[in-house]
Parts: sequence; C-alpha cells; structure tokens
Amino acid sequence: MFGARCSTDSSTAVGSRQQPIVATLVLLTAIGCGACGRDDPGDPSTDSATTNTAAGDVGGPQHSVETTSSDRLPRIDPAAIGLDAQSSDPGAERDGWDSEAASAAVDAQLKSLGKLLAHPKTINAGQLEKLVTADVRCGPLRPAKLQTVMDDSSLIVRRWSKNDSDSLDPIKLHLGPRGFAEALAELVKPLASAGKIRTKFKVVRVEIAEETIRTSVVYQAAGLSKTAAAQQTARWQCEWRRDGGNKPRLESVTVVEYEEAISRSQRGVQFVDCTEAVLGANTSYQKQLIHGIGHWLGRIDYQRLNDNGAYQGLAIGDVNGDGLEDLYVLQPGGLPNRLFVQQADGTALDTSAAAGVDWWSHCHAALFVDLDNDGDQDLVIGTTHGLIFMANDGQGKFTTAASQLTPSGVVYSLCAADFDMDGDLDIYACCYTPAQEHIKGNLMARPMPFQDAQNGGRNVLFRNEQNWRFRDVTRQVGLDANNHRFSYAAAWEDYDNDGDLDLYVANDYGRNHLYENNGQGHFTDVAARAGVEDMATGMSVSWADYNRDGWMDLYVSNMWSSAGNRVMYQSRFLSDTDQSTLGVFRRYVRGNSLFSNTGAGTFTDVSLETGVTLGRWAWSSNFADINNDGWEDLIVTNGFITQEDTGDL
Amino acid sequence: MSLADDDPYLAQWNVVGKMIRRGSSFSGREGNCCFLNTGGTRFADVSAVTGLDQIDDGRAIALVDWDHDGDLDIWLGSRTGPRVRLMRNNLDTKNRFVQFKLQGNGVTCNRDAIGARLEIHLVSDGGVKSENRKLIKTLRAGEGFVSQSSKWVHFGLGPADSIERLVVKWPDGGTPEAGGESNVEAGNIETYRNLETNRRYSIIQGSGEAKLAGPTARNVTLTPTVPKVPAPSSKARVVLVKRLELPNLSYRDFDGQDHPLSPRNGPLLINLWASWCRPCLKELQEFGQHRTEFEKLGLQVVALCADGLTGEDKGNLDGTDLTAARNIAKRRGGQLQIGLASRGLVRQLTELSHQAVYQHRPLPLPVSFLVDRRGQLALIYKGPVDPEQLLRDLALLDAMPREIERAALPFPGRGSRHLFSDREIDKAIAFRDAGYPDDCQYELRIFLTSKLPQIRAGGGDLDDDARREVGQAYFLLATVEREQGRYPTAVKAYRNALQFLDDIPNARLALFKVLWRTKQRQLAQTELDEVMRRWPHSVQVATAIGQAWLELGQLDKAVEHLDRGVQIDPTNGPARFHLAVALQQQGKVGEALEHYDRLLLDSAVAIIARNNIAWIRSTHADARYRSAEVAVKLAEINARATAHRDPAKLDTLAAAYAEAGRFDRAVATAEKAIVLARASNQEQFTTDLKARLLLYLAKKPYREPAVRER
Repeated sequence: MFGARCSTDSSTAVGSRQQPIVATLVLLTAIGCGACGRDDPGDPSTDSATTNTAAGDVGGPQHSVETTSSDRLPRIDPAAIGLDAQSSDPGAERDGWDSEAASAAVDAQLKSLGKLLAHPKTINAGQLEKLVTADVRCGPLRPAKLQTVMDDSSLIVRRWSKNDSDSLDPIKLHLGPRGFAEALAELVKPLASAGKIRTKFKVVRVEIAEETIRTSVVYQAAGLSKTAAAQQTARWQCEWRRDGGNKPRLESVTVVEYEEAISRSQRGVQFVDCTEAVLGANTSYQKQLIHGIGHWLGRIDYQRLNDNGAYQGLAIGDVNGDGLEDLYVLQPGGLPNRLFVQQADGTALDTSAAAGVDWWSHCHAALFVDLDNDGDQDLVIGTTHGLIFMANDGQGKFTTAASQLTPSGVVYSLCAADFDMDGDLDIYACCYTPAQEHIKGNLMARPMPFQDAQNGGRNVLFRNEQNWRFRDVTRQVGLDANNHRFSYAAAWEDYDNDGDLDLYVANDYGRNHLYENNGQGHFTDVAARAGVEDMATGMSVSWADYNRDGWMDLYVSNMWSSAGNRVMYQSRFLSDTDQSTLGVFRRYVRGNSLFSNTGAGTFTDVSLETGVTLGRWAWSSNFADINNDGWEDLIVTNGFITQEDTGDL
Repeated sequence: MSLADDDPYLAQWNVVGKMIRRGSSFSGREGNCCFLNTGGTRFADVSAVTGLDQIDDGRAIALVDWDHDGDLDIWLGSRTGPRVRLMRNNLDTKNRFVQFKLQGNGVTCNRDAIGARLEIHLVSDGGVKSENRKLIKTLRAGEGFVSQSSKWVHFGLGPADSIERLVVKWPDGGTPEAGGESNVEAGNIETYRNLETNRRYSIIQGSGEAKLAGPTARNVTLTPTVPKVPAPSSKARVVLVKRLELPNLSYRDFDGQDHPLSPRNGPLLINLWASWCRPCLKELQEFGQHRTEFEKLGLQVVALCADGLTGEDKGNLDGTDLTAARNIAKRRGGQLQIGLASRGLVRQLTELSHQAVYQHRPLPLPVSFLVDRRGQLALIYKGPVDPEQLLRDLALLDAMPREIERAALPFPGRGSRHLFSDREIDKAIAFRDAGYPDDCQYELRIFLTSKLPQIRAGGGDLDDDARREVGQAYFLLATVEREQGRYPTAVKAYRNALQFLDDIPNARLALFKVLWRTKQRQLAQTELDEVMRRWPHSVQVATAIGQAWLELGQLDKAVEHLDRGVQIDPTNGPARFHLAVALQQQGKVGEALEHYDRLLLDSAVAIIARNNIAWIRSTHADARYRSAEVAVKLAEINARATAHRDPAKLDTLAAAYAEAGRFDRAVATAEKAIVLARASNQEQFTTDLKARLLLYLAKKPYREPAVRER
C-alpha cells in the first residue's frame, strides 16, 4: 500500500524486467501490505477479536484496559499550517491490485459474519441476507468425524483434514441461508458452552474471476469464561459472488482443515496476568512500565530517545542468592532499566538504584551470568555503544567492572557460552544496525539488497580472558564469515551432539547462519549445507528436541504476512515474475520456520506440516513445555507498532 | 554498497519512517500466539485457551517457574504498556515435572554450567513409548529475542512418575594439567539415579548426587488482574538536553504592528492559544496573575492567538473577525504581550518541536515554548503551563549540563556515556585490536576528514589535545598501513603524524624502520639522528632504538644502543632484556645468560627469561650450555605461571623433559601444546611441535640448529 504512494505505479514494478531494485520494491510493498489494517482492523471498537476487553474479568485474554482521561487536548491541524497531513485512510490506495480491493470487501463481510457468530442462539436466515447468496451451500463447518490428537488431564485437541478424511464419509449438506445459519450455530456450539465467543478471520489467498472471488480464509474463534476455555482454528475455501458495486456474497464454504482445543480445567484459560500482583506496589511499575513507549516518545528529548521499536528485553537471574528468581527489565533511551527482586510471597521490589543497575542508556538485552566464577550472578548489558560488565557482590549490588566498545554496531540479543571450554563464559553480541544508523534515528534499517542484505552491523564474540578482561576474537575464531547482516538474535546449541557448542544466528532481511564449532573453538558457517539458511526476516532463535529423537531442533521466527501471501500467490504476480524470484519472495512471507534435526548434520524444514508458520510479525519465539507433558510447545510474541492512529501501514 | 538519498528504494523506507513518527501503526494490534505440541508431529493453535493472546506489541519471553509450583510461568516484554507482564501458569494437570539447578566447578567448567546437556531417561512403562523415553535439554543463557530465561532446567514428564536416570554432560574442557590424564569423556559425564518426580534438585559438578533444593513449600498467592493502562495524554513537559536554536520569528499584534519574536535581555515564553479553548483561557488568566513575578525574573511572555489553525473552529486567521480574541486577550491576559500566530510561525514552531522529540504529532493547544536568553529553545510545554513549574524551570535555564540532564529525564538513573568513548580514534583502536584494519582506517579517515581544514592550515587552530589526537590518528593510520605492507602510504602518514606528534620518539622511530626496510637508508638515518639528537640520554629511547635495530636484524647496532641503555640505567629491565636477546641471537650465549640471570630479579620479564634459559638449557647443540635439571625446574615454574595454557611454554617444558630423559612426560606435554597451538591457529608452530613430538616418541631430545658464535 505504501508502495502505491511511493512508486507512482507499482504494477509497473512487477514487470517482466526483473531488475533487483524493482523486485525489492514489490517485496517491500508486500511486507508493508502484510501489516495492513485488513489483517488486524485498527479500530478496536469494531474488531470482534478485541471487543471483549471485558473478557479479562471472565478469565479471558487479558487485554489491557485504557482508562479514560481528560488529558486530550485540541490539536493544531497540520494542513492549516501548510504541513502535509497524513492520509486518514492509508488503505484507501491499493497498488492497483484489484484482488486487494476484493480482499478488503471480503474481509468486511467476514467481520459481519463474526459478529453474528458471537451470538449463536440468535443466528437466523434473515441476518444472513446481505452476507450470503440465496443458494449458499456448505458441509458441516465443524466436521463430524474429528480425530482426537491429544487428550490429557488438561486439554483435548481434535482435528480434521480434508486430505486425510474418508471420502465415503457422508457429508450433510447445508443449503440456503437457513441451512447456513444452522451450520454456523453448530460450528460454535462447543465455544458457546465454554463462554463468551469472539472470532477473527484472515484472508490469506484471493483469486478473482469475472463473477466470483475465491478466497482462502483462516477462521479463529474462542469461547472463554472463568471456568472454561475452548477455541477453534480452521481453514476455509470460500467462494463469493461479485455483484457489481455491492458487497460480495458468500456462495460456498469448503472446510479444508479444522482444529479445536478444549480445556478440561475448571479454571478457564491456562495463564493469568499477575503483573500487578507482583509489581503493582512499585512506583516504577505505576509510573514507568505501565506506559507503552509511545507515551515517552513525545516527552523525552530526541537526543536520549529516538527509537520507536522498543526492542527491549528481559533477563531472569537470582541476584542475591536467596533461591528466588529476579527480573531485570531493559529500557529505551532516557528511561532507567529496572531490577525487581522477588520476595518470599512472590511479589518483587524495585532495587535498581541501590543495585547500581538503573542505566538509561538505551539497552536492548542483558544476561545474568557468573563471569568470574565466584558463585554469584554478574551482569552484562548491551547498550547502543557497547557492553557493560558488572560484578555482583553476592548480595545483588553491582559495580561496573569493565566496558567494551562495539563500534561495529548497536547490540541487540546477547548469548553466553564457554565456546572454547576454558572454564569461563564468553559473550556473543548480535549487532543489528550499523552504529551510524541508530544515531540517525532511523526506525528501520536500510537493508541492501532487501532480500539478502549485507550492510548490517557486525556481530562480536568477546572471549573472557579472566579478571574482567574481554577480547574481541570474532575474526580469530572464524565467526567473521558472513558477518555483515542484520542480526537480531542468536543461540548456542550442540546441534551435532559432538560435545561442543555451535551457534545459530537469525538475520533480518536475508540468510541466517549456523556456525559449527570444530571442537577447538573455531567456527565454520554450515547453514547452507545444513539446510537452515531460512532466507527471510529472522528475529529469534530457539532450540529444543520437539520430536524427542535426541537431536536438537530449531525454531526461527520471521514475519508472516497475509497480504504478502495473497500477493505472492496471485496468478498475475505468478505470470510476471520468474520462478526463482517468486520462490524467494514466497519464502520471505511464509512466517516462522521449524527445522527438524536429522542427526546427520542436516535439518528438514517441517514448518508447514507441523503448522507453526503463522506467528504473524513475530519476535521472541521460544520452545517451552507449558503443560508438562514432555513435549516442547511454542510461544510466539508478535506485533510491530501499535499507535493511536488506527490506520495501519 | 550504497544508494543515493533520492533512491526510490530508500525513499520508501523514509516514507514508512515518517508515517510512523506521525502516529501510524505498522502491523500493530496483533495477539501473541501459542502452539501446543501434540506428540512431535504437529502443533495445535492454543493461543486463546492458554490466555496468551494479548494484543501487545510483544518482544521478549523469559521463562521461569516464578512461584515454584512446578510449571513454567512467562514474563513477557512488550513495546506497548504494560511493558512487562507476568503470565502465571495455572496448569491444571496430572502431568509430572522435575527441575534442576546445576553448578559447575568454576575452574574447568563455568560455574553456571551454561552449555550443559541434560538427558532424562524415563522408565518405559507408564504410557511412555520406548522411542520417547529420552528427554534432552541444554542449559542456555540468552535465546529467543533479547531474552534470558531461568537457569533452572525444567522438564515436563507427562504422566510418567518415575525417572530411570538423569545424565549430565558438563561443558568442561578437562583438567589443564599438562601430562595429566585428561579423560575428558569420563570426567564430564555424570549420571544420577533415584530421582523422584515433582521435585527440584540442585547438582554440584563432581558431587555425584542431586540434592533436593529449597525453598520447598512456597505459598504464593497472586491475584490476577487486567492492568489498567492510562489513556494517552497530550500533556507533556519536554526539557531539552540539547537546546535548539530558535529560527527568526515574528508576530503581528492586534493593531497590525509586526514584532520580532526573540528574547530581550532575558528568557522568553512563546504561548499559543485559541479563543474557544478553555484551558488556554484559564492559562492566560494565570499568566496575567503572575505577571509581576515573571517581570521580576526577566521573563517575557508572548501569547499568540491561533484561532483558525486547529480545524475545530471556523475562525478566521485572515483577520476578518478577531474581536472575540481581542476581548479575551484584554480581559484575561492583562498587560501580557498579545498577538496573532501566523501559519508560518506555527509551522516553524511545529518543525522545531519535531527536532526536540521523536514523535511528530500536531501541536496541541495550549502549547508554550521556553527560550533562554541566548535564543535557544530549552523547554516545550504541551498543555497548560503551571506557573509555579515555570518559575522553577527558569532556574534550569542557566543550570549545569548535568542538572539539565537530570531534569530532562523522567526518572533518576545512570548514563553510560562515560564508559564508551565516542572518539573515532578509540573505535579505530578497537577495530585494529579485533583484526579489522579496514574499519580502523575508515574511522580514522572520518576523524581526519573532520579536521581537514585545520590540518590544511598547518594545525595552528588546534589546541594541544586536538593536535595530539590528530597526530595519534595519523600514527595509527601509518601503523595499519605498514601492517598491510603499504609502505609508501605508511611513510606519508608517519610524516603527517610527526607534524602533530613531534614530542614522542615512537612515531619517528617507526618511520625510521619503514624507511630502512624500504632501503631508504639515508632518509632513515636522518630520522634516527634526529631521535638521538633530541633524546641523547633517555634509556627508554635507547631501548627503543635497540629494539628497532633488533627488528631490522641489525644485531651489532642493536647491541650498541641497548648496551648504551643499560649503561645509562643498569636497573632498566627492558633495556637489559633486549640486550640479552640480541646477544643470544648473536650467539654470545654466555653474555646473554649473564644478563638473563640479572633479569630474574625483574619479574615482569622473568617468564620470558626463564623460558629462553630453559630452552637453551634443553636444546643447545653444545652440551656445555645444557642442563636438564635447571631446564625442567625453570620450565615447570613457567608452565605453572601460565596455567599450562601457553603452548610455547609447554613446548619448552616438553623439550626439558626430553632432555631429562622423561620422554613420556615430554610426549604428553607436547601433545597438549599441539592442541593449544592448533586451537589458536598457529599453524607453523603446530608443525614445529609435531616434528619435535616425533623425536620424543622416538625417545630423542630436540636440538636447536647451531648458530655460529659471532
């Protein structure tokens, strides 16, 4: 969408002349579109997924509640003083893709459908008049023969797939608005018995013909209460009839995949928000952390705070050796980092100032690690300019013991390991942005070339030389190979079970790296050979043995974009783009990746068949066995920038 | 690779950046996701039933069993408020768990045991398939994105209620003792049995047992709530760390007279208001009430009416009807300076505010700009100004930078700028140390380019510090050029360095060496003479000259200057040391030994001295100089002193053992040296070591090829 505004006509950009820069523009457009309001309607008051903020008090998803305020002031209209005003509807212009306009229209219809689903008892044919055709048809939206794929004391998961199903299975056909209403009511029955219903649709493929629109739609719905929780996820093929300027009406729905998860617990959802109970007594929580970064971006001098991304992390460690885990919260420029020390009752008290760790120098990540092997948790912190190494006195008080300039880039994720097995911990620092870019205050990088960028910062391995001396040995140990990328994250793991630690690095805008340790602390990048280049927008690395075969598997987060998917699978896009470029682009918008370790030095990409790609605009994405069943689950944080202007780029 | 600023590709990025600064969302309002592993082949979407699908701009994940109830809780970090959340796991299950905290020995294994691999072997009955009996985890510090989870290793066990065994592979490089048995495999792997489920254990490396860990029974009651995030407020007080020059501004009063808008002998407050804006009017009244106080402090308040600029009124900036505004101004503002804000003026102020903060939002009303007496914008008030606050802020106008910094940040804290030099020279040094000569040069060129006008003018404008800095930059540049073998450019850079750094001999000596190496002997001699002329009696300079000659392979000249240095100061260690080295190279081993003996008193170089003695005593072709006993003794001292990690010292020790006929020890020590040399990529040295190892295996000592005494 911003492609339309920036290049005069992006349809020319998809021409057959595949100049690299042209290809890049298309891709950039697609990624941008992926973020459009179509995916996640900006107005919370009309979005069925976010309307039930009140669900918090029924144990539902704990969306934050904004309290009302009288602090809104009138604003000077930029247009009145000759400044170019922002388009109120950035989605108004589309890149000349009719299909995107169609997708938007379908999206609006689905949203109306979602509102009806929230009240299954009252669904009737009359309500469906404007949404479906008179001869609308579908099979059961909740297939009859569900396969139970998991059933333990906490949760039951059932699944159905068109591909696996027995074709002889007689399907009850629902016809007409009345039949469709019936199908809808039956669909959400398991949700209705659990609690209040909310729904969400994503259009992930769209194809338009003369009179019809075919879409592939992801349906997500949940029914939640204080004592129950159920959710459904399905993929539908929908056919819509186009009717001139009128809204498209649904002609048929074919369920391709269906899955439901129903909690067996009487406790409602599994995780509950205890933030206030733990931190609420601290002024720093009430005055500082309660606010998103948007609050501060208009209040703190640009010289101190110039980054809207808020790529700040967390570190857990027991700073005072009392056996209780403590929390360090990193903060953007101008705001002090916060250390919360846990008390016996589970609450935590802010000791940042007394502990000497209240840095306000734009820190992204920190690690609690014992750097001098004296039995307490020291602290290493990544700032814009370099690393700060702090020694713990054993009581949770820290003094700066060393600092190390990282002129080759701004530090993002950190990870520690004794790569050379000499008995002390060494630190690897991802340096995403070249330092100059951050100083310019550019929100985003300027990757070149977009799909395989090599103008990022350079990551650094600091070898612990004891007595708080750290030396940059990146080049010496072979980690400088392919070291000019936009690295967000890295994690150590012995992927080949040979007893030494290897390193995986996730890079934005291009290929990732797997640096194999030769056992002597020297590394070679084997990502291509091992099949884990994952050429996309890498944000996060997590390792675990998800299939319990004794080999560590790899989960890498990327950006999933429904609009990107729609555009990349357009027949028009297909015809205009050569196959290899298309492959690269489609891969780019696919989402998160799961690589299964074969045990023979290679990995198999199992992302699609395991169903873990759709993590949206993903950031930290970690394996964690959240239900203690011995199988590693996945948690994916996501979302890029939410601001008061609801028009999403 | 770089593109011009007007490149369409970069332009797209710039547009995106601009829109975000103005308040657009970008892939916002997305819920976090959770996928449940349903048996190792597929995952199910459980984002909603887990309650993890908050609409946050999620960033970080830190996993920890915060409340010790046997399941993983999640600290989430987000861009939106609240910036952190504890999502407590209320898992309701019959599944079992076990947790471990590891402690390495802190010598050969890091104390945190980061990198340890843990393997749980379950008993295969109880519903666990035999192929799924093994569970593995690695203890990590840092994973995901900018996140670190707990060092407690948490295993969910499913319904299994018995653990067959736990195997821990410690990240341990083995014992550092040379020649000692280093059965790495056996020493690093430990097995623990008799473990129960639903327990927390701590394990100390080598203790052989897993101990139950406390605190065992914690009764943590935390009440879940939905965090209340305050609604966005347009009110703000922005204190500028770096003040901004006020552009040329002017305003028109109600009588049509134009006035310049700049401070006169004191601070200036520019206020924008509108006749229909209630908070504005209240503020105007307050300004009027405080007028005398303001005057006393020299504060000039100019309140400008912005009717017609907000889009909320149909007002008429073009001056048709300002009666209302004029009346209000008279009534409320008293004797304040009142006038009209023009479009241009408001635009200029808006743009100025855009330099002050990241967000580029339209200005609210009222809004005020406090300008110091030098015409620099110091504070912006969005929303009404509290007159008391304003009076306090006046004191800030002439405050010290530290005080301003403190006032500019919303909370106290500490800056780290002092820890990190922003000088290009320091960055250049960091790059050179890490082995990046190109980046080193790049930083130096940035610095030197910035100083080019002064440099071209001969440096007269630069103060002493700046002169030295320029000199250092050229010196470093020259060094890097020389290391890259680019001698002509190195010479040029040395000569530039000398223009700014002529009070230290190193630069001139470095130049001398390059000139000599490139066969410009006469020019070299000139530089050397100059050094000698300037510092005729300095032992350091004499030593440096001797060293230079030593590097150039001119042993006689080296000895001459080093000897001169020792004469000047017989206690000077470096002078004597280099003299001994030069003599040894000359084959004057007897004299070298005498000097080395003297040096043993000087611990700084004692290690090298001992090493060289032990080497001679072990390997010299002439039996008169060999002494196995002395060699072993000194080499062992040295090996200990370097923690058995320096391959060169171990090489000497191996040679000494061989000379003593203790070939088994010689072989073991040489092997260790080879491992270390290879690990540090010393290829030639590794080859040499291997050759010597073959000798020791054949029970032969090593002999240094004879250097004829000169």
